[in-house]
Amino acid sequence: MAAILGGALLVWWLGARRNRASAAVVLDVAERYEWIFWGAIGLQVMTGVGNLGAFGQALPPSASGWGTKLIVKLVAVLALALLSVPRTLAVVAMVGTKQPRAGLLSAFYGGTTVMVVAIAGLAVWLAHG
Amino acid sequence: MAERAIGDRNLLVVFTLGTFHAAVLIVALVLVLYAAGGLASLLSGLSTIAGLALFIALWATTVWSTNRTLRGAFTVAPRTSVPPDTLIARAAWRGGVNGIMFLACVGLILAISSAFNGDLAFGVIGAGFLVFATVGSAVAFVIGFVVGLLFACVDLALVSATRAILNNEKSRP
Repeated sequence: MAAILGGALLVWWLGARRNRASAAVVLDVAERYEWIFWGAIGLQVMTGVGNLGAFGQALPPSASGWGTKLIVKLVAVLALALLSVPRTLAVVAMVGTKQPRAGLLSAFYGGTTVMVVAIAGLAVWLAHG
Repeated sequence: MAERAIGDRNLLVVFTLGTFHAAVLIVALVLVLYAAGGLASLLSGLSTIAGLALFIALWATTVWSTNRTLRGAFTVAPRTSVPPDTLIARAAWRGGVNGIMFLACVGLILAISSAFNGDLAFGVIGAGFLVFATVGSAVAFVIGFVVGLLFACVDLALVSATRAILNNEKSRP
């Protein structure tokens, strides 16, 4: 989660200060971030399901308050994965054509940061019952 | 050098879509099972190590299957050089093959897990193998085929959305 959030913040910040960081550097960092992001998403899903398995039969029912929060979090994770594919494809296309678009990159990574912060907030909310 | 860079970018697209498929499939299954009330009994019957091994197996076979589907399909993502209907047919077929590969991994992982727990006899392994190799493979192929078809449609919609975003951004003054 730290890698996903920290990386998105870094690319967003680099894109926002476009006068100081060259566009090629921003794209290079963004491309590396995409590898880390998708690797981390796979690990998050794997460990997340493992954590649910640790509850065993004590897993609260979906109709409970905790269950509703879990369902909201799972839907948010699905949305993050779905909305991240166009971001990665756009970064790959920009790297391929060597035409970085700072505004678009800022919007993509700003959006990713907001979604990841929301999911982290849901995780903390779940952990505290 | 340039070819290597293109290869790296294509590999990133393969890894992205493969991971996207495996992650979304598992999260969607967890969501449906949890809402239906069947998740606790399923997960409590699975050891942590076996669960992790199953996900890694699904992740690996799905990335491999995505790689086979997209082979030669793009030059610079997301501009595909293969007609969408060909890609969809290829994705559905590869999805079916992926289903059988994953089923084989499931059989192997569960057999090893049971052997370590000491609750598996050779007769049970043999009977299990026969079921996996016949009926199981056919069912796994059909499920994989349908899932592959669905994900191919989702992927093409996402590629179209990406093109639209890039074109819209390009046309701005």
